Amino acid sequence: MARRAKRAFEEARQDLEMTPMIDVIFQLIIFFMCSIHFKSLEGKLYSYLPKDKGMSSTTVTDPILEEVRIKLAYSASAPLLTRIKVGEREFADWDALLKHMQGLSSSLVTLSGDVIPVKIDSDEQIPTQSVVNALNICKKAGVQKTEFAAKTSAPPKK
Amino acid sequence: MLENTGLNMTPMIDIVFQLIVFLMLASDFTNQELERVYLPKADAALADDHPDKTRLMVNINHEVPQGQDCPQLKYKNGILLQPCQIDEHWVIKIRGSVLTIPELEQRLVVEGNMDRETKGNPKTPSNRPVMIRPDGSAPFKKITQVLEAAGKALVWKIEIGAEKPPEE
Repeated sequence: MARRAKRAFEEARQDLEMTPMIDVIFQLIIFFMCSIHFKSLEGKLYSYLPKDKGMSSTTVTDPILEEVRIKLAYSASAPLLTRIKVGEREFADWDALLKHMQGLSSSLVTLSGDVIPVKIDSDEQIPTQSVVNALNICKKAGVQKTEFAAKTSAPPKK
Repeated sequence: MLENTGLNMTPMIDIVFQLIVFLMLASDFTNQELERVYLPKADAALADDHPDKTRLMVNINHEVPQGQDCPQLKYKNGILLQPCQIDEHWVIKIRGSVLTIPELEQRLVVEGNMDRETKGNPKTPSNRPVMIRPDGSAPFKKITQVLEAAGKALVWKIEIGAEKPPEE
């Protein structure tokens, strides 16, 4: 009787084979650990191009009333490698530029409702972070229209 | 009296399942096509809740040939000290493939043709959005190259990817 009970107990114990399941689970963990790419808080800044200008050969002349140009010049010694200027005024850091733009933004809409654009004029070797900082400041200051200034490409040599 | 001296697996399996669930939740499977790019930071960036999963992403990343180090790019404590100005080290990638500027222009024309203002007329502006995901230390020249290509393809809805710094 006792022997039969012992055999039944041993048979019951052998029912569940854990090893393959643990193997698979470890494989899964290793896969996830190797392939993991943590979610990051990604956002976007709109920088729409002028829709109706295209790349036509005709020169479009906008009725620009005034121009606000943020000049970003490369400088190896400046913080973030960038010298920031608006007109003749140079700014020591981004906070100073933000204050200036906040004071300026309300005057960027004329009485007739025209919006004066802010142009970001950057050197080619400036790190993108600096340009994005300027764009970010324009958004924070409530600037409605931001454009990138670009050098006109030389016509191809024949 | 029979004694069960076997290894108790239950707590280990519990922990292992917890780990799997955590890793599955933390993994970002939706953006498998995205390159690992150190995006520029911008706290005014808007949440990217674009419903179109097929929207084109143009990545600009820094790639040096295998086994080499970039002689220019220098960071200290996460602060950029010197950017890389070697043009060959900056690549424009779409879905894992490196594109030259003419290839990019062609790709953007194809993309733009999907949603032209006048259907079938490639000379009308396209309302198809395109996102540029640049590395924060990439020279602005690379962005202007993409913008120029987009302008030629009459694709005007350009978005620049940025990382929202964690709120303090």
